[in-house]
Amino acid sequence: MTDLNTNTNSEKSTGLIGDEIEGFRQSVTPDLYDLNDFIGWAEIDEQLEMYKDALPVVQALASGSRTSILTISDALNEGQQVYDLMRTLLAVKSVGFQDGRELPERLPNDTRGRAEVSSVLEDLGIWNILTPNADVPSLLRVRLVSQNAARRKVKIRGRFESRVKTLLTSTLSSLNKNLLLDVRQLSPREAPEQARHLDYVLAIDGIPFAAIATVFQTQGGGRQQRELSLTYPLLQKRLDDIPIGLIVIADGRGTKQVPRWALRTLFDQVSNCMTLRQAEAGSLEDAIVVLAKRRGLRQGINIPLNRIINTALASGTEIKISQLPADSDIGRIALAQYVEEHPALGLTLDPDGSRLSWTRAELVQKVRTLLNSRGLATTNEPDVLEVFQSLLNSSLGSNAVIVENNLRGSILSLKDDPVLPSSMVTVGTTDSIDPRVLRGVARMSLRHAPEAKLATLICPTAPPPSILTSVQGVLSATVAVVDYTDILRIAQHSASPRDSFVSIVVERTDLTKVSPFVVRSVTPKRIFYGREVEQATLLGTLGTNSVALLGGRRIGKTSLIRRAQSWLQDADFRPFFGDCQDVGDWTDFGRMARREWNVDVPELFKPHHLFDIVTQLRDVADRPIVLLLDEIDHLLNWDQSHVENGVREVFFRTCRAISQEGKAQFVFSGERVIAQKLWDPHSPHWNFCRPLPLQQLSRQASERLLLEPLQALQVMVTDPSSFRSALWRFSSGHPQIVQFLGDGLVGMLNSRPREGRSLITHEDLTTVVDCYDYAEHYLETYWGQATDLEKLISVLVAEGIGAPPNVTHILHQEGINFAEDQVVTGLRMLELYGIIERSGPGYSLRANWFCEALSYYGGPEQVKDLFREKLV
Amino acid sequence: MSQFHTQGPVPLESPAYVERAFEQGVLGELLNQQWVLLLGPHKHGKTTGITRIKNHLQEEGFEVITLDLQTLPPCNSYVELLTWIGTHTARGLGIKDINTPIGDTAKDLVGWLEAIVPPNDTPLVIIIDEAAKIPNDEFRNAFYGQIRGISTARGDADANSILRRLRFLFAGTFRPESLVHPDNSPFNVCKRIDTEDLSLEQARELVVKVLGHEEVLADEGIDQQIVTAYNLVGGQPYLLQELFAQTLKADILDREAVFARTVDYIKYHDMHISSLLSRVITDQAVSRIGARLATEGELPMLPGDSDYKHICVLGLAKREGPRLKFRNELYAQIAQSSAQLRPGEAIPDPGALIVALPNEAFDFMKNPQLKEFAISAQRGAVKAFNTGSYRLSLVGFGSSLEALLIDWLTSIPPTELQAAKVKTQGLNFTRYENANDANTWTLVNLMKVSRQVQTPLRAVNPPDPLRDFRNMVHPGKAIKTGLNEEQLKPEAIASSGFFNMVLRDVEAAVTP
Repeated sequence: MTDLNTNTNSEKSTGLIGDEIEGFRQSVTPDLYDLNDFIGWAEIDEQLEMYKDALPVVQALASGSRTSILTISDALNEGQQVYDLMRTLLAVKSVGFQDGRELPERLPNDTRGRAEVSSVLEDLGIWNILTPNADVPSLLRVRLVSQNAARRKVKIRGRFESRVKTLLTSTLSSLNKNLLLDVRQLSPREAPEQARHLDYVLAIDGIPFAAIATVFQTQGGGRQQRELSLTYPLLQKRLDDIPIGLIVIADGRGTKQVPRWALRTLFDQVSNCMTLRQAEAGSLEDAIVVLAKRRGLRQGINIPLNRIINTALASGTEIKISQLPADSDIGRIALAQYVEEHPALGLTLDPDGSRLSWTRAELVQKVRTLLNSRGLATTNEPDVLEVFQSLLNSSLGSNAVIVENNLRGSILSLKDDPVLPSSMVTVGTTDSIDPRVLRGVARMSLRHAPEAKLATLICPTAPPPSILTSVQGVLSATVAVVDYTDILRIAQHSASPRDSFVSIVVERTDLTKVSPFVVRSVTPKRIFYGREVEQATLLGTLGTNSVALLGGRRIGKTSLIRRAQSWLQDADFRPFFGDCQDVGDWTDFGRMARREWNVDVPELFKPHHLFDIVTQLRDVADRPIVLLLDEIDHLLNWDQSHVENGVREVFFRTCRAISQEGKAQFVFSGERVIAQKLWDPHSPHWNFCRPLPLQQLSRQASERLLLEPLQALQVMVTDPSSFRSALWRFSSGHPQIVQFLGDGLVGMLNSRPREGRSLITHEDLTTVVDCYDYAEHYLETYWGQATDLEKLISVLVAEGIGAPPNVTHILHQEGINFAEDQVVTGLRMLELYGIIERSGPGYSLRANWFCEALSYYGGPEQVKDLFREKLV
Repeated sequence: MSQFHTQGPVPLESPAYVERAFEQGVLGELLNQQWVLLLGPHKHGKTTGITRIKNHLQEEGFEVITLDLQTLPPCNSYVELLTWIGTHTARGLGIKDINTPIGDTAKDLVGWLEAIVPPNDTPLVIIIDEAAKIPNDEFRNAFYGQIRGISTARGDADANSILRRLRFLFAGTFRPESLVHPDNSPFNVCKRIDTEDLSLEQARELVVKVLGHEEVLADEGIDQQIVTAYNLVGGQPYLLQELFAQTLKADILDREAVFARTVDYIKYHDMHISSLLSRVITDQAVSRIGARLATEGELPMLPGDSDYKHICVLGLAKREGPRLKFRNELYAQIAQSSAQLRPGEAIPDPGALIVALPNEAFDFMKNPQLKEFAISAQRGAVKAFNTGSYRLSLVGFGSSLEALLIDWLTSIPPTELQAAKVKTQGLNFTRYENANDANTWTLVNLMKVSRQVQTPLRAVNPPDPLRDFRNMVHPGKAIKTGLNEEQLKPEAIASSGFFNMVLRDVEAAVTP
């Protein structure tokens, strides 16, 4: 495809154009006057008839002896006609003068007003016309002839246009009949915007290719010259984009007076230029035929074929090579290249390259129909919903159609998605949109899809987003307002309609409601990343032994144990989850087991009833039973302080017995109590369960945890490498902190204008981090339930004091007297929390940003002083 | 002028209201399906805000019920507690007849909710106001543990389960980390939002709303009064309204005097101040921070420390970046002149304020009668002090101390009491005293033996001056000192501080 930069009729030689200009000038008809109606006597006679009553009065005035205001005033008493006649003779209409007097359109009714009018007529010199010998009817006839002359231009232009119209009608009829072309004249509404003001726009199969401008200049001058040398060439340039060839039919005395250079510019830069006589002699028909063949591409111009393809696809659903003004091989290449150059468009090229069409052609066509009927009563709302539903490839939920408060909508069932809800209320309306309508949609969403935080409102034309932004934050569901143009764009885009729709959601809604990050709850499967090592350890161990998941708060114990349930099911275990949050003693445990596992155990539950539970949970296939007990610390605490038949920790001992007998295995999740029980070599349980410390995610998993949900939101990171480094420095892979950062980024995007919401940088991440609140969150999350001693030790390790004896020594120096084994336990707990890690004979910092977080509190030295004060 | 609101939550239709940032925060989170923990000082606009949040949610189509645990009657069992919760939930939803759960279900909050809440899809927001007001530790832990369980289970619950419809807003003035066992606290899964003070602009807006027209701000006298009040009490909404209510209705020439009188009233007679100070004083860790703050003016914040956060929740202090400061100038003045907050320190302000301790401060006492005695004697001592009867105040503190020591010594194992007696030097019982029954002992013997009781942390060491001061009730002894009523004020101030010290140490000795 060749894209020539020129937009002139370059193939025409200078000589050829010169001949054309000469022919044009010679055929110009200076005027289109007809001797029969050059002076409109019939109209003049009609007007004279109108003055028949006034003429005698004015004649008498002229013939009278008195020439005073009073006599004029007396004459005016005869009525408006006399007044009009006098004004006609003076060639004035209604007029005001600088001395404050005036000649009004209507003759005043009062004497005073007439006297004033009379004085004005006298001062204007009425007596110079109404002399004693004056023949008033003749004077009037001459005056009316003069008036009639001014209408000749209008008359001629009308005649010119009428002849063009007649000529065009007959030409089109002849073309359609003889050459079997289906050339049709487009209405201004159907015509492309650039050509809408022109006299005629012609199209074949609805695709415009030619436009006709008529110009009749009765006199020459700068304005006329400008019109021909500038206005029409510029217009042709705009029409070339479609492409449409511009045919200028120019005539009249003024045209002939236009300088040669100006005509050269006109001839050079528009498709065709001709006089009316030339047009009538066949030039118009010839020009239309050539342009029709070239699909509007004017002769000598090689504008890119992709413009033609553009136009065809903008108005239709496909284009074939036969529609291109090029041979078939060039046409194929043009279509293929068009696809290459427009990766954002959802297009399908036929295997033989002969046809290019919209991939979602049917939907594109439907949306176009909607767009064309926009604002008209014919708009069919259910069609909009149907189209949108098809676009999102969703199905209709139960009670699919809902109508409330004049709003009609449906509930779309969507596939599992990190951003979009599984059920989404979608409403279509042709009413104007205001915050009240949004509120109505949000209420419908609350009623019919209560868990969805996103609803959609489809309308013909969306209002400016600023009108709706403020209300989004206080709605129960944020409402994405989508108009027909948006839907067309979604249908025409190469990206999945889901992605295109999410981009709109990101631009226009309250992002905090669609944030995929989960900061304060169990992490759902869709954003559960990493933990492959833990998964392997669990599955590898539970065949023969139990596991204790140890970890600090918010590290993801509950999320992991929930996921473990499905891993175990897949591995043919028989897992049972028990939430021990509110299990404070054995009785509570029995109640939980009855409620969650539907087992029959006594009200007064004792640990030995665990055997009964295991027996009842066994299935026919005898799959290995695993009891997943989340947050076990509380129960273990109670267990170790209660005695049954002289024995402490009976519950935990029973679990151990069941495990060792292979009747079932356990996965306990807990923090300090269970960790200390398993770490204490003097405890009877220190070798029961395989401890599985749960710490930060790997670097790769933490990057996925942040970046993949952002990607699902159609938000791109501009500097991925710096961004990833910053993420690792600020979080060290703590999953809750990573999600906190994600949530912070979403909050930041939400505060931006709509056009700035799709990109983030590592500087944005730094901005989220650089505040006291983040430092507080970071420290509180990492420290979790650490004691003041442990917190102080972590600050010492941050300062480089990591060997247990050194830590103990420093503490003693500060007057804080703890034994070294207490310090060792503290260090071990901090290791479990992921704050520090083993390094040589001691420990070093693992949480990279720890010291920077402390700097928000005055730095390690000051924080150390405060803890020291507390401990001393 | 009388429409400033100083009693209870500001009604929806009252003009004495300006929108607070925390309300938008809470609303946004609840609309976003999050659970919220709203913490803030007493009389700081929590309930006023909650009323408006509830109203908005109902307008948006949510079902909302409020459970004010302040109205919870004493419960003898956990089922009784859940019955109260269930009954009030049903009432809030307009349901008259409920199928009362039985068996295990009656001990399960979810069981109650499933029995009460009609099966539909509408989200239900449960607002638990004064969330700390379940006195029984076991019931409180069970209740909040079950709510935490709802949070864990809702992700995997069936689509039509009640669990997925529930959203909670907990509000109050408490320590979230210790109110419930940290492992099963629902507050860990809540978005914490703290109430904030009004800005000066909001204070002006409040005055304009109440007085009804903006022109009032053109009155230099009124604007000056707003600024003066703000400089003293900051954006504390209750105190601002109290000051505005009293001063703005006064004649312009009298405003200064009325303002001074109102400040005096707030300092010495308003329950707000005594309630605030008593809460600070009875929390040892917070009290220590308050005392340091009074001495040093401001402190660096200790990261991750709940005590530093709690002094802000109580209202005495606020955080400004990494620094802890008094919430306002009035609180600073009161704290600096509080002998109870700074026992043993020289109090610069002779107009020191003494406040009665809340009843809960005596909760560790075993004998209900002695507890009632100790509370009322201490309360009487404070009242006497604040009305200038310093001698009676000394008697009151001494009597309360006596009740406190009797309760303690009669509750420790006889062997420990015997051991303490053996170690006590100069122990002389009169013929009216039974050496084996501390109920009969004189104050001097109670104090001596107390000092010898073995305690896990620090010894209880009642200062002798407390007894000496108490003896001033005897005219003969009082005359010997040569001090008149007014001159006994320093002794009364010291007594209040000493009493708090002993109360603190006895509590530490008996609390496991």
